[in-house]
This record gives sequence, C-alpha cells and structure tokens, in this order.
Amino acid sequence: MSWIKDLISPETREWEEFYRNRFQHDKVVRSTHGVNCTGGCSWQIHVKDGIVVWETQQLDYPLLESSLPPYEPRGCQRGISFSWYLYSPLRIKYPLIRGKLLDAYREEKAKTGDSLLAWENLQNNKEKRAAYQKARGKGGFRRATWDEVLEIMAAANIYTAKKYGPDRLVGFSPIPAMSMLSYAAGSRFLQLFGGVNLSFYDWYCDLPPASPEIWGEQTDVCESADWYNSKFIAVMGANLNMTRTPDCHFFAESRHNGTKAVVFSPDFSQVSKYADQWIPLHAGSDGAYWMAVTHVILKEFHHEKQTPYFIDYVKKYTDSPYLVEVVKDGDTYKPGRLVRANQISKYKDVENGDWKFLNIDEESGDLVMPKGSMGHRWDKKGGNWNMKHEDAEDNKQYNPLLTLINNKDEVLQVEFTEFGLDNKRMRGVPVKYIETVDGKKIVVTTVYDLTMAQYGVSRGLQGDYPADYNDKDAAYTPAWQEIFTGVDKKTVVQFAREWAKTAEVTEGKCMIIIGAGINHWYHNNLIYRAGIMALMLSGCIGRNGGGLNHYVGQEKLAPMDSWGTIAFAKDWQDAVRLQQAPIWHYINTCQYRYDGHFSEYNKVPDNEWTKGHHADHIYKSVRMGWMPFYPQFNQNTFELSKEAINNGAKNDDDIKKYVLEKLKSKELKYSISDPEAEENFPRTWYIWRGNAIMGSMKGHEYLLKHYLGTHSNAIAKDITDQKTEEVKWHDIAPKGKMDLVIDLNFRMDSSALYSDIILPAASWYEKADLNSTDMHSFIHPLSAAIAPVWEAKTDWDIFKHIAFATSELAKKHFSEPLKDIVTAPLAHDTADEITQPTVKDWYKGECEAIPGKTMHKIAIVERDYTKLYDKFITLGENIKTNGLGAHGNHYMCEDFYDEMIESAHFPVEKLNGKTYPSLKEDVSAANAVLFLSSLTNGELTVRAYKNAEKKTGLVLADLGEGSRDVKIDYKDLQAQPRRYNSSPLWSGLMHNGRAYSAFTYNVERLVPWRTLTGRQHFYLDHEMYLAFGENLPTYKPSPKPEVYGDLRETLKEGKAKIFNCLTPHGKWHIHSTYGDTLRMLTLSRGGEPCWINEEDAKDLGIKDNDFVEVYNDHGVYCTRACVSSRIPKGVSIVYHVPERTVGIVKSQVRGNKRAGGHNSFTRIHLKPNLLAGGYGQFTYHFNYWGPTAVNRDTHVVIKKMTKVVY
Amino acid sequence: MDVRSQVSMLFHLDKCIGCHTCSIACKNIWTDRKGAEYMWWNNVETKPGTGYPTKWEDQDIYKGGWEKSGKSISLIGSGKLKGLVNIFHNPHLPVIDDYYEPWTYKYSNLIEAPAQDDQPTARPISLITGKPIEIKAGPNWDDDLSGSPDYARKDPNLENLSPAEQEAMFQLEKMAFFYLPRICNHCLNPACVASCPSGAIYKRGEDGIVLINQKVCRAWRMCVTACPYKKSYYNWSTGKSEKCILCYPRIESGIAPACMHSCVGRIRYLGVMLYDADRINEVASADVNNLVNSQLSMILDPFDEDVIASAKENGVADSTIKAAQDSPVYKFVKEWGIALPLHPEFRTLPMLFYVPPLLPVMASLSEQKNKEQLDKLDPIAKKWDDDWLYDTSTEELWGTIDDARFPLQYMANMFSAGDTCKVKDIMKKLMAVRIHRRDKTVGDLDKENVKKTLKDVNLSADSADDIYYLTSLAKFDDRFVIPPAHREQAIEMVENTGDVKGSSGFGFIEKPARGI
Amino acid sequence: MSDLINLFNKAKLLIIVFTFAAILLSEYSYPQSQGEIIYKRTCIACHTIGSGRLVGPDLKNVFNKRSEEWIISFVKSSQRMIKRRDPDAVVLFNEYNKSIMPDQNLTDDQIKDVMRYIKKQSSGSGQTTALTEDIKSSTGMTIDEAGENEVSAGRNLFLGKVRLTNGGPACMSCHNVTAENLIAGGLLAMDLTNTYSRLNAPGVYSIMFSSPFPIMNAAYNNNKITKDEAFYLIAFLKHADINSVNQQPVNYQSNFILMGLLGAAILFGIYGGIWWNRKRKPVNDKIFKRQLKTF
Repeated sequence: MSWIKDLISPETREWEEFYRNRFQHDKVVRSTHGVNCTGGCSWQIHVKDGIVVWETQQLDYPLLESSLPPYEPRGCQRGISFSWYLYSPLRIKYPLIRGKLLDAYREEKAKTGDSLLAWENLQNNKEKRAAYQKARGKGGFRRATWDEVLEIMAAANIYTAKKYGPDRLVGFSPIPAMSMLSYAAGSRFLQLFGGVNLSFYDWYCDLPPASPEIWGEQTDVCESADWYNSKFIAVMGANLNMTRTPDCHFFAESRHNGTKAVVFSPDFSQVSKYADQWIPLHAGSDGAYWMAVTHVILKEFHHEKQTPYFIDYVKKYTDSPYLVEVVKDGDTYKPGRLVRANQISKYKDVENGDWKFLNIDEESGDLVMPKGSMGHRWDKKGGNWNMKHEDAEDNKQYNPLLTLINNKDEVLQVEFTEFGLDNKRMRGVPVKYIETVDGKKIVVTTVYDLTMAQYGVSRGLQGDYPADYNDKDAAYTPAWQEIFTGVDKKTVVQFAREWAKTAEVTEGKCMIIIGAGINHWYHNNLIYRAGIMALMLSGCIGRNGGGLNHYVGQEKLAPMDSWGTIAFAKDWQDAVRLQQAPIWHYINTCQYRYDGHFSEYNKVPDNEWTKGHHADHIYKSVRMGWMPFYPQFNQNTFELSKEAINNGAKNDDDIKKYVLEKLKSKELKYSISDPEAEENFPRTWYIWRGNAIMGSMKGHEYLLKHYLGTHSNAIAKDITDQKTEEVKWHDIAPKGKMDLVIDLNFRMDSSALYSDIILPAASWYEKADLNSTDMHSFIHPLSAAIAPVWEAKTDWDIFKHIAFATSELAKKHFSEPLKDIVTAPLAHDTADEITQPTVKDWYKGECEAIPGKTMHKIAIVERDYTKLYDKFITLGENIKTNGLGAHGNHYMCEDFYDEMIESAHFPVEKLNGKTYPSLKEDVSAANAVLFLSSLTNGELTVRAYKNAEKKTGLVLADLGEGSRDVKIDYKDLQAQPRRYNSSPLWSGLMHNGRAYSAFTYNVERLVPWRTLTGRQHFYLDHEMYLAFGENLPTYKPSPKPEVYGDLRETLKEGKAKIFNCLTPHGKWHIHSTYGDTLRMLTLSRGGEPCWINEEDAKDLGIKDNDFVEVYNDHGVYCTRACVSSRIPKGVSIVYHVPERTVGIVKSQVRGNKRAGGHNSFTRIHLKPNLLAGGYGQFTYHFNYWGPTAVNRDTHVVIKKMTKVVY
Repeated sequence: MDVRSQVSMLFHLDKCIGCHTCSIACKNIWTDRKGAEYMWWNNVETKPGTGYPTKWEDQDIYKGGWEKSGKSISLIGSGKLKGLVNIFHNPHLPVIDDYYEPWTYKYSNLIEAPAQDDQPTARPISLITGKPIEIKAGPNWDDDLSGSPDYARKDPNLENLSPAEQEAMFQLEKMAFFYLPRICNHCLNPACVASCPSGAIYKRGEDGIVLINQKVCRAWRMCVTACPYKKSYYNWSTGKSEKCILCYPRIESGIAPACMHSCVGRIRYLGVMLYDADRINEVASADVNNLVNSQLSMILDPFDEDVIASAKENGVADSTIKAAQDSPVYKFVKEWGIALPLHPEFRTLPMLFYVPPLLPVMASLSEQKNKEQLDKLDPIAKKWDDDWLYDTSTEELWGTIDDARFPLQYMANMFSAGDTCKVKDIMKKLMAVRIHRRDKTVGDLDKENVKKTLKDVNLSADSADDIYYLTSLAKFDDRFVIPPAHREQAIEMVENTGDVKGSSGFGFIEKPARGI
Repeated sequence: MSDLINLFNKAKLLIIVFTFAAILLSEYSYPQSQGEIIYKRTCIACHTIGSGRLVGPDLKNVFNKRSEEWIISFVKSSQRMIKRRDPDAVVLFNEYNKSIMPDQNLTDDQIKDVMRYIKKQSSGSGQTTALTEDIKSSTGMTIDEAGENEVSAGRNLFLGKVRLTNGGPACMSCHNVTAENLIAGGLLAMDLTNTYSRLNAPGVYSIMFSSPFPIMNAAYNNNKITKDEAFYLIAFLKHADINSVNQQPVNYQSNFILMGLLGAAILFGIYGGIWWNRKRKPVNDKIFKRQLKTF
C-alpha cells in the first residue's frame, strides 16, 4: 500500500507499535480439540513466552475435487475459546481428593501401615463409607500428591478384584475418535485388568439404531464436502450452523449452486435461515411426514410411473424382491419371516441355509437363491458374498421379480396395523404359493408388495386402501399426516414430487441431514426408517450427494483396525469386557424401579413378547448372549476358577464346562438377576475425557442417589405394582454403590465436583494424540504446544502410572496369576451373527445351553497383575499372529510389526530378553496406530482389499493400488492435515479428491451390506420386530406425558402447565465443554436458559430473564427464562449440557437445595426390541447395537421463582 | 480526482452462520484485558434485534453520525458549538448498561469450598466491582431472537413498517431472522475523526484504516457518541478509547484480519478499492434517495486509465492498483452490484459492504378444525393443542423473492436508506444465479424461464457463473486479496530500515496503564 | 486527573531508571551501598541517624525497637497500618503531629538494604544527619538575612509568575500557602503554610532536592530547582509561616460553601437546560428494573 504522506506525519504514527507488539508470538503449533463435536478442526496454537496466548484456524487443508469448495477454515466459536481453560480458575492443577475420604483413609493407613488393608477396613466400616459418600459433591477438596492418590487407586483396584472380581472395576470415556489415544490409555489399562468399558455412542443416544437395522452398519455418512454434491437437502433434527459449525458453509454454498434446501424443525432454528422452505413439524412427528412423502413417491414414481432408475435401484440394492412368508394368525393373514433357502427342496442342503434367502427370477419364474446373504458371508468357502444378480448355486444370472402383481396366484387380504390412529386395515396383497421341503404349501409375497400395501398404495388391489391423498383416516396419506405434524398436505405433496424428480434426474442426489433432534426420540429408529425409505426408494443411498447423513457424535474413528487392538489390549489377550451402557445404567442406577412396564408408553401389539418389565427382557438378553452385562456373576470370577480347579478342572475347557454346569444348575447366578445385592454392585469407577455424572447421565439424580449415595432432588417413587418378575425385587433400593469414583479432568466440571479423586489431566494443547471425524476425511494430530501445566499429566501417562502402581501393589498382594472367566455376547461381524435363527431360551429349557450359540460365550483369560504395567507399555505379539482388522475386514501385518522392532524409527522395550515395540509414550502409541492401519499404511490397504476379494469374489484390490506408497506418521500430520486412504474398513470411496459418501463402495463395487440379505433392508423379520409391530416401516406417535411417567408425583401438587422439554445441542458449548468458559457465558446469557414461547410465558406470568424452575419427578433445573417468538407453544428448550457448577441457584420446589442440570429431569427409557441378538445385523457389537438412552419425550413443569438464592 | 485506496470488507450475509467465531478471534487477540472486557470490536447481531449496544441504530437516543444541514452536513451529536457546550459532559454517551456490565464467576469456589451441606456453585461477579452481580445484559443478549418481546420487537429498523407488518414478523408463517456481523466501517467520512477534540483519530493514508492514537487520546469520548455504529469504546482502565484496527499488524504482514481468518462461514471477503477523495463532502451531503448511488459512484474503476494515472500521481503503488483490479469486494459491490453499505443514511460513507440474505418463503396458516380426528388418536399418543395447518407449498421450486419472509422494507431500512427496489434487485440477482446453476447442474427447470430470469436482472450466464464461483467455490486466496504493505518504505521515513532489521523487538514493553 | 496519574506513572518509571543509573554510577565513582543510595534519596529529608528527630524520628537503632517485618510494612504504607490500628504506628503518628509518612514504593529487599545501611551507620562512627549544608543564596545570603526582595522572588516562583529556570511546575499547581496577595493554591499536596516551622530550612531544602514524595520527585527530577530558587522559596515560606498568624485563612466554611452551592445550582440549572434531552438511563432500564434480585 502506498504510504500517502499528507494525512499525518510518520513520527506521530510510531505509537502504532502499541498493537503491533501484541501481535507477536514465539511459535505456532498444530493441534485440535478432543471434544465430541465432530469438528475435527485443525488449529494454530500460538505460544508466547511459554504461554498459550490464542488460537486461530489452520488454512492449509489439501483440496478435494475442483468442483468442491475447500474445507478451510474449520473451527467454531467454542474451539477458539479453548485456551481460556488452560490458565483459568477452573483448571485442575494438582491431584485433588475429598478431605473426608482422605482423612478416613489416612486413619486406617496409620493403623495398618498397608494401603490395601486400609482400604479394606474403610470399606468394611459402613458408617465411614457412608460418611464420605454423603460428602460427595459438597466441597471439601484437598490437594494431594500424585503418590498418595496413586496408592489409594491401586489399593481400590486390587481390593475390588480380590473381593468381588475385576468386572466390578468400570471405566467410562466417550467417543474415542476425538482423542483416540487418551481413550485407549484407560481402556487398555481396564482391559488388561479385566475391568469393564462402558459404551458411549448408544448411551449418548448418538447411535441411530435404524442404521444397524437397515445396513448392518453402526453409522456411515458422507463427509460434509459431499453436501455440496447434493441437489436437494432435507435437514431435520440437525442445526447445522449451531452444531456443524465448520461444515455449514457447504450447505450455504450448495444453495448457490442450485440446490433446494428444506429444513424441518419445530422452532425457527438457526439453520432455518438457510431454508427455502421451513417446515415447523410438531416436535417428534417427522416420521409421519416421511411416511406420507414415501406414500406419494411409491404411488406416483413407483406404481404409476415406474421410474426406471428407482426400480432398477431397489432391485439391485434392497431386499425388496426378497420373499416373505405370509402367515395365518387366527382369521387374518399377517406378514411373517423371510423365506429361507433351505425351506425349499432345491436348496435344502446348502451350507448356512437358514441364512440364505429367495428371490423369483422375472424371466423364468423360478425361485433363485441370490448371492450376498449373511449365510454366504460365513460359508467356509468364500467368494459368493456379493450383490451380483446371480444364483449362488449355479452362478446363473437372473433378473429379480420385484412384485407379484402380474404373477400372483392370488390376492390375499393381509392385516396391517397403523399405530397413530390405532387402526387395523385389511389390504389386498398379491401372493404366490410355494412348496417347502416338508411338502407344505406356504404363502409368500415380496417385500416390495408388502411395502406397497403397508404404505396404502392400492395398485387396483382389493382392500381397505385410501381413496386418494385427501383420505384423512388411511395411513399413510398426505392428509393422514396432518393430524400429527400440523403440516398441510399440499406441502407434503410438493415436497415428495420435487424430491423424487430431483433424485430421478440426478440419479440419487437427494440427501437427508439428520441429527440428535430426531435421534433422541423414543421411537427414533422408526422416524429414521421412515426417512431412509424415501431415500432408498428414490435411489439416493450410496451416491455422492445423497444418503442419510446422521451427524450425532464423533463416532468415526478412522484407523479403527489398528487402534481397536491397542485400545482394548487385544495385542495381549483375546477376551474383552465391553458393556452396553444404557442397560447397565438403567439397572445399576435402579432407574428400572421407577419405570414400570414399557407397554404403558410404547405402543405395541398385544402378544407374549410385549409384556412385562424391561429389566426382565434385559436379563433374558444377557443369558441369551444378545447383550453383555458386567458384573457377570454373583461370584468373584477368580474364586470361581479356583473353585473349578479345586473341583478337578485341568484346563481352560474344563473350567468353562464347570462354569456352564453351574449356570445351568442355577447355582451360579447372573448379577443382572439380582442387581441390588451388595456382591453385584459396580465398585470402582474411572471417568476420563467425559462428563459421565452430568453431561450424558440420563437420570442424573438417580445416579447421585444410588451410585454416589449423596443428596438427590428426585422425588419419584418405585412403581411397585409393575415389578420385575425374573429380576429379583428388593423393597428398598441400595444407596451409594460406588466405593471410589475417579475423574481425570483438566477442568472442574460437574463430574469432577462429585468425584472422590480428581486427577489433573493435560489439555488438548498439552499432549500428543490423534483425532478423526466423519465430517471430513482428514486425520488430525493433537500436539503439545506446551508441556502439561502445573502437575497435570497426559491421559496416557496417568493410566501408565496407575498401571505401574497397581502392578507394584500386586507384587505384594496379588502375586499369583489367576484365571479370569469372561462372558461375552454373540458378536456382529463374526459367524456369531448366524447362530440364532429363532429365539429359544435355554434358561427355560427351550433348547440346549451351548456357549456361543444358544447363549453367550465364555472365555478364560489369565491375569497376572504384576505384569500389567509391562503389557501396558509394549505392543503384544498377538498382532503378529492374529493380524488386524475391523468390521469383518482383515489383514496380516507381521512384517510391519517386525519392522517396528528392527527399525530405528520406532522405540522398543526389552522385557525378559524379548523386544517389543514400545507404547510407553503417547507419540509412540500414535505412530503404532498410524503404521499398522489400513487407512494410513498403503501396503496394508492393498492387503485388506485383497482379503475382501477372497470373501466376495469381486475385484477390489485396484481400489488400494493408487495409495500403496502412502505411509503417514505423526510428524506428517503435524505438518499438514492428511487425507487417509480408502479402505474396505469403510464404505465410501474417495479416490482423486472425491468426497466421501457412505456405501458408494457397496453400490459401485457390489460389496454387500452386512445384513441378512446383504442388501439394504425395508423389512426386518426378527421375531421381536414382528411382535413389536416394527417389521415394516411404520409410525408410532410420541407418548403423552401421562403415560411416560415424568410427572406422577409432581402433578399431585396441583395445576401446572406441562411442556415437552427438548434438550438439543447448543450454540455455546459442545455438550458441557466450553459452556463454563467466560467467553461462551458472556456471549450467551451467562448460563443456559430455558427457552419458551411468548404466549406460554404470558400465561405463566414469566418475563424474559426471570428465574424459573424446570422440574418433574426426577429433579429440577433452575435457570432464567428466555422468552422468544421462535419457540413453538407447548415446547421448552434447554440446550444441553448446562453444568451444575456455574451459576446454579437453589430450588424452591425441592426444599432450597441446589438445583441440577438438564439431566436432572430425564430418566432412561429403552425399547426392548433393540435387545435382539445373534441374528444377522441384530447382533451385538460395542456401540453398534442395543437400546439407546433416549430423552426427547421428557415432560416438565415450568414455574416462575419468587425468591432466588445462590 | 484524488485517488486513494481503501481496504474494504464484504460480508455475504446469506452465508453467515451466526457463530461468533469472528468475535472471539478478535477478542482473544485484542480486547482480552482489563478495561476492554466489554469491548467487542467485532460483534454479530441477530436481526430483528436491538444489537449491541442496545438500539445502537437509534440515533434519536445516541445522536451518532451526520445530519444534513443546508447543503453540507454536520455531526448530530457534536460540532464546534455543541462540542464546546458538551465538552465536560457528553450527554448522549451510552452508559455501561447499554453495553453490559462485564462479569465473571467465582469459579475458585468450586475447588476451594470447604465441606458443607449443599453443593457449591460459582456465582456471577462483576468484573468492574468484583461484587456479586445480576446478569441482565450481555454483548449478544438477543441472540437468535432471545427475549423477542423485549428486544426484537423494538428493533429500530421496524420503524416505518406498519403495525401489522411488524407483528407478522413474529408469527410462525412469516418469521425469520438472520445475522449481522459488524466491525468498524472504516468510513470515508468518519464521524469519530471529526468529533475528536484531541485530534487523536486519523484515517491511514495507505489503506484507509481508521485508528485512535493511544498516546494522544484524552478520553473525551466524543468519538463514542459520534460513531453511529457505536464501534468506538472507552477503555476505563487505560483511559483511552479503542476500536477495531482492522488487524493492521496482521494485514501489514499479509495475514487476514482475525475475524476474517476465522470466519468458518467463509462469508468474508477483503479487498482494496480505489475511491475519489475529492468527492467525499459532496457524496456525504447527497440527497437521502441518492446516497447509496453516489457513494458507489465515488468508488473508481481500477481498470480505467485515468484512474490509474491519478492513482500513480498520488503515490498509490502499482501493487495496490493490481490488488484493486483483483479485488473480490470490488466485484461484489461495483461489478455485480449485489452488495450495499450498512445504514448509509448515517452519512459516514461506511466502507464495509453486505450482500443481503435470502430467507425462506412465507407460509400460510389455516384452521385445522379436526377435533373429530384428534379423538381417533391412539390413547397413548400425545396430542398437540394448536389447531392450525401450516402450508408452505410453492408453485416454483424455490418460490419467488416476493414470497420471501420479512417485509423488504426491513432490509431496505438497513442497507439502502429505505429504498426497497435496491434490495429487491439484489435478491433477484441472487436468485437468478441459483436458477442458472440449477439449470446447469440439474436441468429440471424450464429453459426459457431460466433465460428470462437472467435477462430480467441483466446478468449474463458468465457473470452468473462468476458470482457463483466467488460465492461458493472461492478459496481463501480468492476471498482475501490485499496489496503488500511496503512496511520498509514506511519505516524508512522514520529510521533506517536496515537498522530496524537488527534492532527490531529490543526494548521493554510496558503494559498500557491509565494515561500512557 | 489523568495527567496527574500520568505523572505518577512517569515517576515510577523514573525512580526505577534513576535507581539503575545510580547503581551504575556508583560502580565507577565510589563504593556506595544500595541501601545508602536509597536512604540518601528517600529518607534523608525527614530522618537522621543519630542526629535526633527531624520531621520524623531518629532512625538510629530503629531495628532494636521494631521488628523488620513491622518496619517494612510501615515504610510501604504507614497509613495502612494506622488504618489497621497497629498500636505502635498510631502512637508514632500522633507523636509526630499526624504528619503522614508517604508510602514508599520500595521492595522488601530495598528496605532491607536501607536497614542494613542504618545499622551500619548506627553502630559505626558515621552519623547521618539531615543535609547540613548551609542554606545560602549564591550571593552568600542566609535565610535569616533574606528580605522583602527575596520573599517576593520566592512568591513569584511559588505562584508561577516567574518560571523556574529548569522548567519545573510552579509549586502552586499542587500546594497551597495562606499568605497575603495569594490566591488559593492547589490542594493536591500538602498545605505549606506552616511547613517552615515544622521542617525548618534544611528540611524544606532537602525535600526540594530529594523529595521522598514520588510525584514531587518526578516533577522536579528532570527539572531541578536551582539553589537560588530554593533559597527564595524558603524565604517566602518562612515569611508566610511567620505571618500566617496574622492571615485571614481562606474561608472555606460559611460563605464560600453558600456561594458554591448557589453557583452550582445556577450552573446545574443552565446545564439542565442545555442537556435537557441528555441520555440519563440505560435503554433497557425498565427491563432491568423489573428483574428479581438474587440472594
């Protein structure tokens, strides 16, 4: 710029150095934020004089295809405030321990001189134990030394294992992808110990169960750049600018490239500003809307127009041509199960015939057994697991017959239930009769025909079909949905037509972006399925610019293959204890006692399956091998194995047999059968990287009461008239189950406040780690811009120290290796998923008890606690012998393991004369993950594809060739974000800068989905799905407050206005993180308010910024009201997660006690059919399957406060 | 012709996320210190809303900016006589509560609280007094229509809308909001400069950045009143006023201002524009209907030979002229005419520009009257008490601009001194680009219609593609085009640049304190 | 006001700079301890070591009477101690006519250095008195000989009618002296009317050249008062002191207050008129007022 002199003389401008001086720094380091936001943003951390002064975004993302906008800059208002934490008054600088506990422990230690004895004495002293439990959450912290807290933790670890068994030691840490090694540190320690890791993705209700149901996939979505490829985007339950902040620009930019944008949201949410149409559906009614959209698509584009692209797509990629048996039930016909190949004589002897299914060839009319079914996946001889339209026996090509409408033997009237208006309808379905092996004739139809009938598309068939779109009573017409959604049918019809037309012209470039706003409803799986149906029927899955893109939680841990092994110590041992958290907390926090029978609020058909208490269903699912549950037995597993050996067991198999017999004789009991007995309590709880006590804790107040034994604001009463039957009912629920709660944290959050010991953890600018997300395809480092401050340590170091202290104490108190007996559920992506074609309960004598088949698996693991530390810091040789893999993919990597030992680039450890790759430092662990993953080591990519070729019989290795030379290490990542390789581990293809879009691998390469048929499922034929009326996509309305049971006690007090309280993700925090920073509190309202509508506020005499109480039976949250016209009536919003640490006043309705947070008014509700297991995609995997902990249907009362006390 | 160059920022409001990352980027670097806590050199407001400080746009209250007096203009709030009268008492200054009293929390209580019988909490305390405080206002208090009865409904821009129009803006079927990021406008006719009794404020010759000299400022605070955008803040700790410096230390190093660097919506563009300083007085005094046009007309075509010659005469460097030719801001403002200044009627000739946002189409509500239908609902199912049906169906794919939410008058009040045609033209152009791109990428629209739409707004297909490119695909380097600062020349005027090379950075840096 | 603070800050800076300068110089001239430097700069104006009380007490063996901690605390801020009702401090304060010992911006270590110096001086041969130099004009005139001319010259200097040679500010900008023909001076610093009888010539003299008051120090450090000027000023002060009994003190009581009130009322009236439509309350006053207070 020219230096124009006339305005002011240069000397007088020398002061300008005033601001120039500020803009100085000594170095800039790349790091990111290990927070569950899915951002995965690359940041420049500016350091001056050894102090982190500020952060700004990196702008150096490699570009994708030239037709896509760049990723830079990524990072939001929250991320850019992070440095505040480093030196804030919330920072945990030293180990802290509650004074009451410390004094009690020291007293015992002084008496005994031994840490273990001291801990034991303390635990045996009921009064002292209760005393320090009651002090939880109420101040009185004291600074302690690392040595002393390590001593106490080691004592608690060994004591728990000795007294009750290692499966009473639990750990919770969420979403590893955001800082995967910090997660792995704790999980590796716990698994080496024999402890339990609690799942998070289902617990957070981030898992969309519809994804496993339809695709056999936990979640797979497109990266945000792919939004830009779409030409029609429907956004629902996701608030892109608020929660997908760094990605939102793709959405905004896409509009200017001619994309239509429709936003569904009951409130005028932030993202609504981008909408061409904003559709304020009644909260939670999205499913009804989509059912009607699909009705229009089916009628106009499938039936009337038979759009070739759509028809071709559903034939190829969905289960729609598969045959389903129509069964007679009393007087009526009902849809039944998929017809099995071995039901007919032609295929009666095929391997895994229960798990292969049938199509009809359109040309010949013959029955055909398509390739690609689950049975083919686990056939001894591979090569048939693909989606070619070929008969698996003779490889003959065929063209699947989609509908029997022109090939029917008869039209039968089949019964369909519609749950919204509570109707049953008889509708004509074209059927054929086929002869089975046993000579019987069965009635069959196709999934497609059932779908047409279910959606009410008559196609000229007889029956109770709607006359037209205006039929208000018939499911699922545009007029029918009006009653649920409040949206005019004209809007639905226009939407459906534009949607389908766009999909037709662009071949599938319509997408749904969906989020927690939908996924947290009780019937979330049905709402999702309703939307996915529209996508599948218009050929939008597996296409760039299409798909169901669910962004709830940073679930995508890209290098899952190598990381999973290190994280769960599978390099040293085979069996792990991974717990489905929702059922675990439901049982252990005693919340089941306040629940009653689920049929009170879940609309289910009346049959044997749908009766009783959810807890009993859980118990069943555990013994059936569907769900895990730890603690396992009412007996210490170490004692049990000793007992087996004393009774003559010579080897592991003998021990297993002994255990099985003892279970069969019911002498050995499952902990789940009596969770309130002392011996079945979880005892020692490690929390790290998460806010387990507040943030995610549905039924937080119950946790305070039953886990912690401290104060609680819950007033709910046990539902004694709807007790459990099999699970033993105690009249009085225990309080204070946990002996010791340890929290690793860099800030004083609600969990830290309630823990016994707080360990100062390094923050995200103080450690080495890795971060990946589904929002983009880069892998990021966390780096130490500065060393951990004060006495903080990295998570990796902390658990290393705990392992060391535990090993050292074990030398004194646990020196003999002992056998641990580990039960595990049947596992997805293994042959376990084809074990239970029908549900038979061995416990009730309905079948033989066979571990790994009719029941859970039993494994034996030797625990040598004296070697725990050694194992922690070295990479075990199992990697060499077993290879690596995930999601059913596999590759060998012994050469790379050896290279790690021989190469000078990797550190090693020498133990007992053997050399191992070292994992002592976090950077070494990061490099091990990168070096051994098929995503970051190109040679392994090729191997993984080659392995997939064997299984599928397809050519796939070419996909890996282009990146064969890639080898990314930690330093590379620090230099620039790096895109990882396409790998069979993930379902998207991303060559040459192509944006990642889920299932493009399946669609383009014909690799099956990991489902029963290998195709995307319209139809779910597990017996529980049939029983619960969820076999076909359907709509179940949100339960009303009276039946949901949030206000049983509260409403006794008199009249009140009831609100559906929504807790979507907020603008000023990522869950609870950042929400307590001064910056976010200043830019918001100094705390998380309760948003209500102007008119509701007027009714309640509430003005903006008045203090209000938001409460129900479970607890209370006190905050200020935020009165706004953008909130619909009858709904209130408290963005989650407010901490109960900052600015929370005392509650008037709960006796002047400090109020809680947003989870103070939630409680766990679960859907029983999501417990199913051992059946195709309905098979357990950690964070993949199981009931999710929903919270969206919660109801509260809101009241103005008249006196506000801090 | 007196050609000068101005670094100018453009905000594409249609893309704005309202995330406030910009605000924090700025705060972290510049105003994270005592006396500056309440300053937000960059802030983001929800519109409709009253903003920060509350109702800053209402000059009946704050008396900022210029008013027309005769053929010329004078400051509303100060001036020679008024200045003298008010010199010891500046009567229209915002009070702290018009901003907010900055606060923090007693966080230490959480770690240090002794054992007690209830849970400790960190209660809010004032950063000024250190005493417990009631939080009643903040820098972003009416975010996303927070407290709409108290704030959004009192938006000064609603003024000449009919009561019915005003009310409709808060009804489901017509409701909307958008975000307005604001920094100092680095005006061509800055009221702050004119009002300063100490002569501490000046506009830099080389880039037009307006600065308050921290050595000369004497805390008269006349600039606080005079700036109609309320972007000059008084630092109660140092006793000086401060304001957005457009990150000149960064710009001088070739780095984007912090707010722009951190803009994740990618809504910001920074470029240089040449203007004719001879015309400032004339333009600022223009008739209100002609204000926008005349302001735009004083921005010069950087390709025009006369302009280039005059620029060179004035000492404008070749690199600056080149940057002006590549300026993304020039394209939006002049070439395509799809950006407008904020509140031109304040007559400060603000040099930031805004592309107005598109909003969802309107809807209609009808009574559902289906009690009968409700009774059929499943007994478990939740019933909704509102009995309306919401219809947002449109004839055309996106609906038309006439269907868009908000009265156009509202936008016009913000960006074109009330002229709705100007705003509408821009909206139509934006929509035409979308239609053109839809045609190109999907091809499902009527071809004749597409052509007609472009023709109606005088856009060629190529220009539409250019607009699209810069709106959507632009990389950082396309959005951020500024000339080199030639610091070596600047330094040379005071001391030998070579000496500075060796001695730069040496010395003691003192923290700013009152009076220095 | 801001200028004053400005001055104050500059003073701090200068003290530091001069301390450093002094240390550096001492290296080259003669061995002088840090304590001595500070003592001579700061304490000497009011204290002696072994030469009896001056403005303040004789500091000889002061360390035997008070603890080190006490002394440090007192030196840093005697007033804080008095406010805290430290018994010794209160007694001392009363004993010395409630003349305030100014707060010294010294570090603990610096004070300790000074005490070491005092200790050395107390025990050893050396005695440190106040500046003993005879106060004479350049013409050799003593204070007692000073006449009307000298007093007048001092008055003019005090008032600023004649500028100080080295450009220091006129005394009156901060000080007041009640004397005939003199308008009231500044009230920012001590009233000097009776200073002469309190401090005597040497005391006043030393304060002028080596003021323990940081502001004064800063104001004159670069703009030294010349010896003659000091002579005239002292002569004036002496004269004023002597004649003060005959002076009608400036009457701040009855009339003045009344007049002031009246003037204020008129002014406020005018201001009220001028600023009739000024902004008095926050825009959201009503909203703020309706809100509930917390406890």
